[in-house]
Amino acid sequence: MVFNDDLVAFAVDTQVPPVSIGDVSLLSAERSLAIFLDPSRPLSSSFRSSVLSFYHDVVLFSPLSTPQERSLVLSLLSADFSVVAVSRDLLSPVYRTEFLSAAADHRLLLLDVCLLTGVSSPSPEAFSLLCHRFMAANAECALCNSPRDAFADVFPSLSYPVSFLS
Amino acid sequence: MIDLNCVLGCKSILNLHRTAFLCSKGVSPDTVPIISRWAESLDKSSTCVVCGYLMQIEQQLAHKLMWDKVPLLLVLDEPLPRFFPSVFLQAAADGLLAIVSTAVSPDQSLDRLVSARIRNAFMIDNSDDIVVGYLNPNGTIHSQLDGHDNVTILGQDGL
Repeated sequence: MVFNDDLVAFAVDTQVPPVSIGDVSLLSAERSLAIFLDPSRPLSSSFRSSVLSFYHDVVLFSPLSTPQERSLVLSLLSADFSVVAVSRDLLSPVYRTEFLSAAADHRLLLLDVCLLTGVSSPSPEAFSLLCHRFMAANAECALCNSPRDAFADVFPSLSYPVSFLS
Repeated sequence: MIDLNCVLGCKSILNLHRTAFLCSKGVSPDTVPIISRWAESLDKSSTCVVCGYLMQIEQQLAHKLMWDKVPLLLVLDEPLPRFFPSVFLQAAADGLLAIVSTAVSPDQSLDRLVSARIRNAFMIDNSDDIVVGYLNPNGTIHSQLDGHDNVTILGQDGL
């Protein structure tokens, strides 16, 4: 299918940029887990499989920035997980079919953390930090694929324990 | 009957009154405002528009309906794409969009006219009534509507 870019652009330009797309009630889920992926480490199949095996009844928070994060979120959505994806520029990209299905099933919330926090055009590093801080503040526990040092700018402020899986 | 397993998006809108929108090629600029006014007159609480996404008028209508929050079943005559624009995602999240494909198989390419006829037949068979934006008396839609009495024509040659 070839989408008519002019038409899509018209529809987009007439809207106020959304802060979120999807079901905001996921933010107040009874159980939620933030996933922190170290961009310097590959996403291992054992980490992915652990998440898919043990957290099906939990709303998972993840940034949607790095290739590893995108890959993991896609796996989660394909496996019918509920996901809060922290991102930006919600109207710019196209989304895979899995995102559309999850949105229709109320299993997905996409958040523009830049609009939420009022930070415009952050660098990739600053954007990543924004995502991590948002997740740290809104999830009730955390899972990381890297030693604690990788997220030293976020984890010390957490009021809950962090689990590590390699 | 629509196989719900083949429907992407919000399936509950299929329980609404389904109105198919068909349109022959060659719709005149004078007819476009009539189609737009028809779209604005729809009761979004009770109606689901069944629409294709091939011709420009169909794409314009689909975007207007999504913009106006009118429930929409998009019927594609080609395999479901892997990617969708964010406006589709927003409409699905709002519970207003479902998408179905009438492609015979993912890897089978049919003549455009044949695939359009299959799509039109699906839309006609799965809708409670039919609105035709523009009807070419010599076109395929005209012949496909033969025998149907639940048809409203907005624009037609000679009228």
